[in-house]
Amino acid sequence: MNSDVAINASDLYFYYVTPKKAPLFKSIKLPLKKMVLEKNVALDHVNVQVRSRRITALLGRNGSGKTTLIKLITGVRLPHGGNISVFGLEPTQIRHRLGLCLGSTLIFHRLTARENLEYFGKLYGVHNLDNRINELAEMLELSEHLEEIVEAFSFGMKAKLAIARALIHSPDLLILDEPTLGIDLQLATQIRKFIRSLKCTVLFTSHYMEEAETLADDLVLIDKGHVLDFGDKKSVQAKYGVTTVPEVFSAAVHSHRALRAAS
Amino acid sequence: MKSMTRIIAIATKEWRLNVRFPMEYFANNLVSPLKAAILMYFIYSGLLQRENSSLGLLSRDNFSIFVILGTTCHSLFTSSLFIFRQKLLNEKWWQTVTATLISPASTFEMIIGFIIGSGTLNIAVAVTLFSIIACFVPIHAEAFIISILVILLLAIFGFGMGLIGATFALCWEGKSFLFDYAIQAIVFLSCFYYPIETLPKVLHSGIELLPTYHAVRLVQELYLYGSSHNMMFALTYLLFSCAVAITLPTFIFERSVKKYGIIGY
Repeated sequence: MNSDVAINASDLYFYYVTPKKAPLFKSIKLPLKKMVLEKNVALDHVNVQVRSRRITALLGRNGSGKTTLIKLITGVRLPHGGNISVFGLEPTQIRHRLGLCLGSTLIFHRLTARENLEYFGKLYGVHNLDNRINELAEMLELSEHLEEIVEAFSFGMKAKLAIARALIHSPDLLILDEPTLGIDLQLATQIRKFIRSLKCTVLFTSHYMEEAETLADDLVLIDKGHVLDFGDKKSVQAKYGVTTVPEVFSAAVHSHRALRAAS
Repeated sequence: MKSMTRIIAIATKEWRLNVRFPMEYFANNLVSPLKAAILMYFIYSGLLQRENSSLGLLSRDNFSIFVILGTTCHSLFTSSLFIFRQKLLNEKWWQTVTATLISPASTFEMIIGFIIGSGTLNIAVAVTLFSIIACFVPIHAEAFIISILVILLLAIFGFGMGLIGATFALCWEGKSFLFDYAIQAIVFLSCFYYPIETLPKVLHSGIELLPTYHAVRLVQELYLYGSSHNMMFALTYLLFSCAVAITLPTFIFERSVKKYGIIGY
């Protein structure tokens, strides 16, 4: 296993089973409906690698499979086909090395910020927990609000606390799903700067292409359950002959569609 | 050691969440066994007002003890049953359940933490009520200890069954009503408030399959008559049911969350 690879997914296949209504007696047109199950493929034989100690942007439109891929990387769901390894191991075997931040969620709104960080710190067996909490609070400018109940926090403060929660155990891989969604420009810039300063491998999703432009070293482009391309940002841009991330995404989508149409 | 730290962390978190609104929490836990007891007291005092009238185990002299024991068992069982569902449903909407599931804490540690943090008060209330009743009813120390063991087993059985409800809440919330119907049937057939003799004979064989029925019957017999001819069978059956009710639902919970995912947020 290459030590430079943090996440390795090969032939990854995953689908959701969703109910769909269909007429029970088509011929006599009764208003009765029966439920049939429909298979929606979320990840269609995906192959991707994410390099360690790099910041990788996972880019795709709504429903492209980004969050599903994150669920498989974190071991929340099991794939229906293919393999996924994180630092060479199965996701469930390296829980203590993973940090996950899903927007401003994954925090208890009826606990204080300190109680939240204490709880997760203890789950991960963090040593010198008080020092770690104070250190993170200082870095994310939350020190004054540690004793306040999260319910009273602004959206931006919740987002910062969610990042602190994900980092409490100093993970080797930090996964951030839309870390700056719904946050004002100034705070978003502060969060991006903070993410830049981290020493671990970071995988983040975003709808903001400029975020990927400024923050990412590498790109993973995903559309309708297919990984269109991945690799070093500059190489991917050079491959499509474009200079910006929005252009690269658009070019990759067109190229993939053209390839599929041809085949 | 690490496992213990995680269990204590989960229990502490649960306790903190519970006492965020302390009035509501304590009122619900302390008053709920008494609410039904008062209602049933009035019903039975009307039904058994004539001297020498009886209803199965019940007579004019013992029905108040019967009712308070039954309501305490019922309230302990249902609160144990719904703790996981209520808590995990909240956690589903906050998405905090995902955070706990991807942490190094195992499902077993999570369950024990929840029980310690949220189930202890219910058990303490039941034990206190049983102790108070024991002050007014002549009961041997041995029978009293067995009755406490029985309510602990009843709570454990409730927690185990509740985990199935929690699995429904996380993975098939739209089908949770099926679990509710099953529980309503179990509660009805467990004879918490009435003796088995008051129900049609055709239901008796089904009722005797329920560990909850054996638990409440054993406790009522111990308090009302000082002993029970069925004690060894009831205790063994309860122990066996608890073992199944903890291991099987834990397995179902773990597999379902992984296979079907947490649906609905």
